Amino acid sequence: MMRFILALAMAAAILGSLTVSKPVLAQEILLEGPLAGEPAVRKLIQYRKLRVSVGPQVGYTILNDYMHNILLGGRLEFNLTDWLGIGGVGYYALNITTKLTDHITDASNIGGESTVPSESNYPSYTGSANFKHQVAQLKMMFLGQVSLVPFRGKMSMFEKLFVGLDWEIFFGGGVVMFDERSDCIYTDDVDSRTCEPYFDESTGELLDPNDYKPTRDSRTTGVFSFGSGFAAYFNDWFAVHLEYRVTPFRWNAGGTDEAGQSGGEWEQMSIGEDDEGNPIYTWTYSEGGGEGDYPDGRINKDDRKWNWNQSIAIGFLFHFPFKPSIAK
Amino acid sequence: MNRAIFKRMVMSATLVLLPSQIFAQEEDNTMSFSEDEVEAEPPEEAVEEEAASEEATEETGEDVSEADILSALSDEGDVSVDKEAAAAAGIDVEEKEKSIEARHPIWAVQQIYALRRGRLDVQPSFGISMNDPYMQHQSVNLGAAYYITEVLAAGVSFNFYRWLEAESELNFEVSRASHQIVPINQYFWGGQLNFTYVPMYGKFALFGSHTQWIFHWDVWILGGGGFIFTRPQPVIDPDFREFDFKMKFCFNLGIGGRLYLTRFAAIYLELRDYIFPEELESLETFARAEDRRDPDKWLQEEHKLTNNVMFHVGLSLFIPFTFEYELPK
Repeated sequence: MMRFILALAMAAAILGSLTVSKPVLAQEILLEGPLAGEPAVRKLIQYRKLRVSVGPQVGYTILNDYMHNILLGGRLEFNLTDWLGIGGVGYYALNITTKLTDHITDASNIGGESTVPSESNYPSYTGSANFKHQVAQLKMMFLGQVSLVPFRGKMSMFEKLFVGLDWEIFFGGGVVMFDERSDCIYTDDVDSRTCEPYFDESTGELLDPNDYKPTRDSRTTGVFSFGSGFAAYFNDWFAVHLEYRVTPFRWNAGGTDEAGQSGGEWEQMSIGEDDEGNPIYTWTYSEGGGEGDYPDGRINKDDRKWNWNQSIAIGFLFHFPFKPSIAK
Repeated sequence: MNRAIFKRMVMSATLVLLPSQIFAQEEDNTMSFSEDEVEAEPPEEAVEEEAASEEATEETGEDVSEADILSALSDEGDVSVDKEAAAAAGIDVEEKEKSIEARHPIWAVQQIYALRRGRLDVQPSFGISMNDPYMQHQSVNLGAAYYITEVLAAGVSFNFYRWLEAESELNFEVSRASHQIVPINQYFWGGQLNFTYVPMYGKFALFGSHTQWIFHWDVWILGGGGFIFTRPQPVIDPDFREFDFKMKFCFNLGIGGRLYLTRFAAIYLELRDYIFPEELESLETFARAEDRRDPDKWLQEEHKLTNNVMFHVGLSLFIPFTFEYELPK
């Protein structure tokens, strides 16, 4: 109910503003004055038309769960008109662990030792010492794109610096290369297991985490990509470019076992009380009565999930030829 | 001397004499006009040039001085001529109006599209958090800023978060896989006092020179301080722990930009970072029920400085809706 009231209030505010805005329009002088019917701009410096722009870009991924990425790369574009261009970007990615990855990596048990996997979560979890080795790492991106530039203008900064400005939206696609946890199986069928065991089956003792350290395989996948950006032109041939990009694709970012619906699950259950009357808990597997098949004990393509893979980037653009054309 | 004639002479002299010396973008990018300059007696040459200019106008009968045009344009940009006064002065109004439309002047410095000074900018908006992967905080916001000058404003803003947050699947997945849980928090509402500065403004032509549409925009930065009510959402030991909302001091920094739809309404986007010391649920668990019930053991000892980066989308409504330019174009 509360959400409905809030949505209603927002809708009323927007509708009200649009209604009362009618008498005063943004183009009133232009439409009513002596320049009515004339183009908005004459002798426009066409920074893009029939020019090639190229330059270095530096980006950063945002809202990634397990690895931040610093993107180093470049952008190349040819503009057919001042508002339409085709081109592409390429990035090499550096990987930095997120706070979540650090949080799990630093996790320790009540004895102060690194946490280890158990029957309830292996092979999804390979222990805190191994966790940063099981998460996926972005490597490279090569994306082609079409750019539309609907807005072209100029701006003043501190009333001292005047620069040309345009705002583009772009869409396209390409390939993304990354390293993802290798497929493996660890089910009750011992003969079909391909994941390294985390304990000695003969003695039942836990093994050193290095003995079952996960591996990663390189994978390349096709993606689509879209976003928006600004270019500020400080002279006829040099611009600073800022963009926001979304590149959705499916991957197993955490290297965990995610496939299946919960049906059976591990639950913390009380199994009695100690001498002081405090409950004693244990983890117990419950079938749950559902049709779920989680966990399936397999690390494979079924564990991949869509991720938006958002990034922001800033870069320099050099335009060739150096001299832009001038509109009529 | 009659004041109107005096102003006309000064303006005419300026228009006639200066174009060869001053460009729209001077090399040092500075233009200034002091009251002394306006009030000063016009130089002798200017008077002569004015006289020559008027003579030339009378001879050709085609031209209209800039002062005529300025006086003929109302603040709203409509052409409105005092025809009686013009007829008394022996001026052919019909001819002049035709001439104005034929030779519309382009001023080097146009008026700012929407003046801000002395107006209240009311900003209703909706916000979503950008940097918390575990909890999607959402808020409805209301801000009001009074512009003391064209570029500087002081104001307040309020955010209401309660019942709008959504816990992401990440925490569930992480806890399912690793048996590790990350503390998460809920927000109730917050309020801030802010100062806003508008360093950049400009205009966009839609599809370059192919259309007639021009949109004006500006960008602001803001900062201030206030409070926010938050509490941990119990996830480590939810059977025993519960928390009340507590107020924390909160600073905020932001950058936003708006695209004007009219002279009083704009749509805006804003990125604002709310920074505050947050209380987090303790990761430590206890076996004894007595310890688990002890509220002193529910929170981590240290506060954590938290950045809640919110992306706001909303309307910017200037009150009063109308305004008057101090000077004609």
